[in-house]
Amino acid sequence: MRALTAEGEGPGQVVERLFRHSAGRLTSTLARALGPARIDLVEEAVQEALLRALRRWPFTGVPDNPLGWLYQVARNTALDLVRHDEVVRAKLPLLVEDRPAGRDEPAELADDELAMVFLCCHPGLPLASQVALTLRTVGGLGVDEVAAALLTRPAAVAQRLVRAKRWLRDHAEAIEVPGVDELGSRVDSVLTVLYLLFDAGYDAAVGESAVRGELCAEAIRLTRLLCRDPRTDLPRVRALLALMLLQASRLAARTDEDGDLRLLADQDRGRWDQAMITEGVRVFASSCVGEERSTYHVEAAIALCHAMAPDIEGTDWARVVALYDDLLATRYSPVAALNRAIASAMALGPAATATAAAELDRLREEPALRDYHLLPAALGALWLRAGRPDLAARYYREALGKPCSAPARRFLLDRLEHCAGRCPHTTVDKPDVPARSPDGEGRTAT
Amino acid sequence: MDTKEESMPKYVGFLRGGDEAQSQLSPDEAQRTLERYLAWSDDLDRTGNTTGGGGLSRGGRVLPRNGGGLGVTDGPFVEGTEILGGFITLEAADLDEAEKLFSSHPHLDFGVIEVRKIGEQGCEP
Repeated sequence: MRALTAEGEGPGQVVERLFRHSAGRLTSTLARALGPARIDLVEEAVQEALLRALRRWPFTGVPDNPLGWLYQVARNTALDLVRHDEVVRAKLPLLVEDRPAGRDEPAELADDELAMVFLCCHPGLPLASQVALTLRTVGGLGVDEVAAALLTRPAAVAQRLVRAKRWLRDHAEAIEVPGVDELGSRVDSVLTVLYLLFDAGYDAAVGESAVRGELCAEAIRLTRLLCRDPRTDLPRVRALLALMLLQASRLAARTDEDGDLRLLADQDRGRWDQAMITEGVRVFASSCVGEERSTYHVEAAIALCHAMAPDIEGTDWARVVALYDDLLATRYSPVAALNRAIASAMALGPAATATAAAELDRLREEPALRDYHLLPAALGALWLRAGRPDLAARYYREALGKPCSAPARRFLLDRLEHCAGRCPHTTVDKPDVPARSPDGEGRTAT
Repeated sequence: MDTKEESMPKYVGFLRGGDEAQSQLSPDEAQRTLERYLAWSDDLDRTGNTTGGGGLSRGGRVLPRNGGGLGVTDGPFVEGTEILGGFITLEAADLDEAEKLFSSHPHLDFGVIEVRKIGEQGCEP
């Protein structure tokens, strides 16, 4: 029983993420053909294809063109399923046309995926549903994985998806990339979802699921898809891609071997992904054409300040503060205000601790930050830096009383121990998080 | 690197059930499961135990008894847990070793494996 693996693969290895990526592509292609009303049926067909592969490939080996194989099975299953449905029979010709099994067609498949992204991010759906639907159908995640990514219960996600698909069945026109006249508003809706998607993955401070790390890659992949299509290659789309690349360049350095969070100040900058930074810088430059200056531009510029800095002290904190002021002027968000206050404390140095602390204290009135552990944590860091471990400990203890993930909890406990040792810390513990809202649902910073 | 003796008996493991559980897997989970199936066979190939196997279609035909009246019908008519998904043959010294080898198969996370000796003469102990 040989030839179990495709040529060039190690024993028992299949191309990484083959099933997940195939699921997203096949769902997009079939749903485009059968229409958004039949996403359930399409999902069933795709699931059946994966199941067949799971039952057959252990004995026959992985076929030379696995995507083509899966497509054939999914298509045939879909045909079988709609044969019993008189209404859908009329749509059959769309599927009968044979797709060459030889090579996949990146351009056509990418177009299907893009269309599917636009459908999932339909502004008529609640934002949380848009995110869940995108992850499930285009991202190829299971319901449990979507729930882990979005920090909700699987039952809630399942219900959300059912409702979203029902809405699509009742409202959606055929899956198409919208025309030029409505592209603007539809793109913004897509960008919001992709931003949240990236954010959910980037914020490793919450949740320990391995899925979350994958979300950043998926968000980048889909944003690239938008940049590659002339219809959607807009300056703010490029700016978002630049922002994602610059942020993602720090991903590997953000956690240590134990999965614990590493602060910006403590990160080994040698582990930042230079290729990603280079591309991010290039994409950012290409986004600065014309008049358009979106919040993605401003956030990317902030990320650029960090990417370009030799170390925490060498960071142009004054510029970071100015950029946060820009951001806040465009759209106020308590989390962005918190980040501004931290950057301002860095710019002013320990001498201005009282001023910075007062600024942070004012934010404690914000209802949105009431359960946000990073606010008291920032105050703790500020007082620790100022040589007041007693005050700092009080804030760290307060932070521990707020909901936060296991790694964040370990981090706070470590800081608390640090305070007990009365060992003055020299830098502000600027948690390396993007300007996001604590609930992860309403994007407040952009 | 077949170190086993020429006359090692062959055993077949029927992989039954698991459809229901496997249909709930996410694409990533399904792929990890496939990789475990492949790795299991690969390991046995390396130790010289595996000889073959095959998948089976989910449906089939059930032939009537001659003169039974009814024609050929679609089958099989068995409980979901008994549906035969595939089979693997391997060489082992005896049923105990065969059982031991199959006991590490990842299919057992989803369904059952029935192990039988091939070419049973009927007079062995």
